[in-house]
Amino acid sequence: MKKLSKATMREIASSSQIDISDEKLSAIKPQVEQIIEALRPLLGLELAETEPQLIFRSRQE
Amino acid sequence: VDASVLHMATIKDLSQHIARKDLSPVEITEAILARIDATDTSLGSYITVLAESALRSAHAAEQEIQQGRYRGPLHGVPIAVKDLVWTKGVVTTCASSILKDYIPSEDATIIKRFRDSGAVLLGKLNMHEFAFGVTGETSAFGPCRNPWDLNRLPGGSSSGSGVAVAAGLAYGAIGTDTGGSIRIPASLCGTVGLKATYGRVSRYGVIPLSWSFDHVGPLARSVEDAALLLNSIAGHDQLDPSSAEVSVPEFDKGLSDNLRGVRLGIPREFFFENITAEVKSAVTSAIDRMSDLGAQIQEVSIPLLDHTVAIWNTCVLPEATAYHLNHLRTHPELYTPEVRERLELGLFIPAVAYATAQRIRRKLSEQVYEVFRNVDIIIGPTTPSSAPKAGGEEVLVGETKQDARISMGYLTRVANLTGIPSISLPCGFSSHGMPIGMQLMAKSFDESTAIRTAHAYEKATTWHEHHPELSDTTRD
Repeated sequence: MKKLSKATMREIASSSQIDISDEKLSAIKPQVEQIIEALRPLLGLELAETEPQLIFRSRQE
Repeated sequence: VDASVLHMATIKDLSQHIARKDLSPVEITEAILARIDATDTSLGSYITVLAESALRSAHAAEQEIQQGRYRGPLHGVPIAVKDLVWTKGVVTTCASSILKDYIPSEDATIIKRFRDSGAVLLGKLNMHEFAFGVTGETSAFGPCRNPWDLNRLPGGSSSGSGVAVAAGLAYGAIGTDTGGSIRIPASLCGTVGLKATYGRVSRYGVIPLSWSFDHVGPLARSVEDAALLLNSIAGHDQLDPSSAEVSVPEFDKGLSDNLRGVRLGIPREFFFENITAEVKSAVTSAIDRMSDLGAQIQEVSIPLLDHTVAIWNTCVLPEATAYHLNHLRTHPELYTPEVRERLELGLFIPAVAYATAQRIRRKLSEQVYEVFRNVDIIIGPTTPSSAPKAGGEEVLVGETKQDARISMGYLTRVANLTGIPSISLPCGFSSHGMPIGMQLMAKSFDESTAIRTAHAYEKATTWHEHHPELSDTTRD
């Protein structure tokens, strides 16, 4: 996943009709990058047969 | 029950006296309302105290009991709920200015169930704004303070629930837990906190943080009390699409003093690496004690545990932002800056990252269930340290200093990611005199094994018998 530019972030916020200042975007950007970066080591996992665990019922064994 | 410590009685003890008619629900309620009035200014555990309606409920309970219509162990017992639970005609704020005037037109399912049990609702408890934080410092109604030391954090997000139970301002309380928000305040305030299996307790009428992670559950002063509270609220609810249609046992039955045959699994690589020496020592001693009680101990490995924070963040942030989108558009200035920024962050998590994290989450669940083939309980500390000082204290965990406000949730999130039940209970005190908690996790819908194991340990120790002295609550 590529890093989001500030311009792209501004567009995303705008398309959601949310007003975020430039200063705020600068503060948020590294936090977003950190979250995505933390996921990166997991992207090599074999997930072919794995469905997302969204709203789920816990398994009863 | 000694009148001078009546406020610290367990629900179990109190209910036996109420059933025998030697304690009056009206007098008990009057006494606890007076205690809230006298002490809660410094603690900040309540947002709304429902004195009049509580007394009306207590009078009704007393009348029914006098007439021989005793409903069970919660009848006439004063409890309180986190202020994100709908209460008909009563303001439900989520500790936010956004909802400061929000009055639901109906009760949440759990409130209806408590009313059916005859419980007395004392009021609505303070919390981290919109349940989005683990400290309890961030609330439109002021911070909540730890009754063991007013300078230290109570933990959150169910901060008022932990504080009210620990300080004797309610006999039991309800919290919610998306990443540890029942168990963290339980750990830092020295109470029991029980997050049941995902789907076990209805969330209808409970304002969400993150749909696929949210759980509702009790905080109490004993394991048995937590079981009694869970008895009242567990069970299928057609109004909640995530509610599970499974049988509900009586969680307080079958408790014993020994742990013969119980297999405990210890995931050392994650739970025991980044914690303080005091927490490590307390939980290790607790495991030794459980071994003495007959438990079989073995080490287990869950490779994806190291990544629980990454998976949790990627899933929870967009879910929370999706729920708050309308308020973020119309009244962003009414959020506290901390919670607003967290919600804005969720806008920028790519959908592919969200879906991928949800798939990895299922992998984690598979690894956890593999471990449960060989053990009944997974055990570890609830929080990496005891309660840190308010205002951003760094705590030495392992070999690194960490911002305690962030690290408090590291160890609890696995149970939200997998939906398994987890109970936190006291297992010691720090050198500062602050409680230390450990958590016991079991297979989905096997709360009974977690409760039975926690109860046996509790009966063999005295940690739960210690209570804060509210007259001297600043230590160092």
